[in-house]
Amino acid sequence: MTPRQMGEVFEFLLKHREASSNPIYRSRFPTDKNSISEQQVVQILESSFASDQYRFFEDFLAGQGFVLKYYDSTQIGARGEGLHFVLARAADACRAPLYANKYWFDNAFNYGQKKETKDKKIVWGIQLWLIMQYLLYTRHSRTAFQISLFGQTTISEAEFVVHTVDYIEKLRKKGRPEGDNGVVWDILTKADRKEVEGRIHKFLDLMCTAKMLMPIKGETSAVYRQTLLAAVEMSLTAQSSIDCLVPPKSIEEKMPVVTDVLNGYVALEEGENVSD
Amino acid sequence: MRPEIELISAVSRLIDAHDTKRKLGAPLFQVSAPNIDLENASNHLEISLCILDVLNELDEGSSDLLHPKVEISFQVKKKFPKADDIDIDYCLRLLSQARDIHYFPEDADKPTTTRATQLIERPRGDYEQYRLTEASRILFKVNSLKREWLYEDLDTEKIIRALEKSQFESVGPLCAERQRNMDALSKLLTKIEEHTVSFSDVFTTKNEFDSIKTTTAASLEITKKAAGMLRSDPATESRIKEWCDERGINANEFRSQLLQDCMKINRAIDGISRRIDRFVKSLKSMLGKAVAVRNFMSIAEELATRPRDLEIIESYLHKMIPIVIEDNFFAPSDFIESVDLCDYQPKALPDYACTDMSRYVEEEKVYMTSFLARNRKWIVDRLKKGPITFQQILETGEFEIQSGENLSHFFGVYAIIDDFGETVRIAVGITGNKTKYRDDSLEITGDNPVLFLIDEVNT
Repeated sequence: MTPRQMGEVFEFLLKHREASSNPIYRSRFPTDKNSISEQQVVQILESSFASDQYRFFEDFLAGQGFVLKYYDSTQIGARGEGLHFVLARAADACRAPLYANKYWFDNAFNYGQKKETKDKKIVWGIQLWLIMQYLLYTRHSRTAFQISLFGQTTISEAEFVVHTVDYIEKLRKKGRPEGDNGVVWDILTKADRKEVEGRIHKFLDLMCTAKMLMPIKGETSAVYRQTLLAAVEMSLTAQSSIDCLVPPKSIEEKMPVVTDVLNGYVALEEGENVSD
Repeated sequence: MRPEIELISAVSRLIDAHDTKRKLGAPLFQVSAPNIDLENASNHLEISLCILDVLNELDEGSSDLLHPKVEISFQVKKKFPKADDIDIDYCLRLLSQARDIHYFPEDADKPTTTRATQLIERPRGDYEQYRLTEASRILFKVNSLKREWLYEDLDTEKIIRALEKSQFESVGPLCAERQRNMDALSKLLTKIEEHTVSFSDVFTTKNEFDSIKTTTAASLEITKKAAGMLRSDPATESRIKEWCDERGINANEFRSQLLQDCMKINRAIDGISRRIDRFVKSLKSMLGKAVAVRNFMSIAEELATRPRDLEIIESYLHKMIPIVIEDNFFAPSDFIESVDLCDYQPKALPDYACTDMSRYVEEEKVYMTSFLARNRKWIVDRLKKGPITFQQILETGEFEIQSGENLSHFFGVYAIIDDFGETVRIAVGITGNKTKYRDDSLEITGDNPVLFLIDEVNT
């Protein structure tokens, strides 16, 4: 892999985040005249496996906050031959400033044309993200490490709305937590169904922009499939032990609660069954 | 789980289907299976398996040996102390009873019955002695073969033997069988990698897995040899020709098909071998426990109802939400002095012609750094308003060019990234776009990088 090829491969991966010799659940990415093709990207990467240049490229990506993962088709639940590269966000690494999340805060978490407060953006951002993960993982009894189920895992806008509305109703019935603890509750329970629908519609659009979901063609209602990139990033998030999101109820509980909370998994004890 | 239990589990639903109490045509409400007492079922199954194990061990490789009940009972109790004589006696009688299995023979439309399924037999006579039957020997055979059959590939040599013995019709099915083995192994590795089963649930020892690795490597060599025989071995070619002539088949096409089959399985084995190598490297993380599903909905609820600083939630939001890259550019600072650059070209040459510019990089870097230093105030002020492409800089014409320089010196400079003052750095990123610029004496084509500020100003 020459330096020039590194640049070209990176440019392609930055744009599409995936490159595959035999794409699954999608057609090949179109080639534009200034870029190399998807097949060329795979060929360049495959031919330089285990070389110094490949390691150099990985180091370069690490500096940008990325990690390059690769899978055989069979490894990710597909039949036949194929090699799949994914440019994923490195969970614990510092991200290059130019990939900051300004975009999300400028666009994704803004509802309608209104100027949102930062608190609202944060609360809706995290809540919709978690509900989406519930629909993609928990509902299918899927652990965060099960990348191979990415293509079979779908989410519809309608069910996303129903789950969110039901969830907010449940919070209302539960009642407002006392004092400052009710900040999140206040923001969520003020939303009516129309607002929830609007936010989810925008959220799903942006998930597609971020290559986390792809719309399934031919469906009458809006249905989306999880992308390989999304599944890989989720498994990395799980590995990196993002914890502490849920506060401990008391000091005694602190140690068990802080681990594994957002990892998407809990380690089983001896004799415990996966299906328990 | 022990292999014999896995085997029993594998066929248990078939037995339920066979023993179902459901009447034909009756609606399906629930699966018909006998009510089972957990303790009782476990005891009887364990004692029965122990009896078979004991008889097998007492045989010591011989067959048709009879073993007295007393000795069997003694050995079973050693293996399973909870067993008592009455239960052992019951299980011995149970295992020695023939069991009717009703089935449809191939190409028959009437069911038939087999009674040859008792697992141990007691010859007629006064002595209470038992021995294993063929049925139980099959059970042991399948049991011992199970891992090899599922996860190893001991029979790849059959492909070579089929080629040598002119059994060419077998090559395709043998390759397909190997492919299924590779798929099974692959699925197993995926399960371990995805933590839905733990490594130790599948492989008792790492040596057991290492033997699979060795076998797979050997299989790869064998399939390579088979492909070599089909490609260039005159004897094989001659046998194929003879075989095809007898059947009126085009020998070249047939040989080509066989070669394709072999190459396909060769690639599959090669793929799995490489995967095993990677798997072994990350084996340490695979040795952990299987993991369970996490309920994201309850996490959302926890966040909504329990105290948590919004700043902390924001920091996690930043970590979790995906990256969206609006502009297709990047800062290849690590490629300095090694990237080959698209250079300006005289008008006569095609646009965007590229050449290896590595030898010019140092010179270009000097020009660019000098240019940036000279025009520092102007350029920083401009970049504070937002990123600017190189073409836009050139078009403003507000910068200072010294004698001996022309605009071409500033093309192909996207590898420059340098400290610029104490608090500001200028990064130059590839955009993937090209630019054309006409000067008095030159028409320049090249990359159109974007310049932007990083650190304090832009972040």
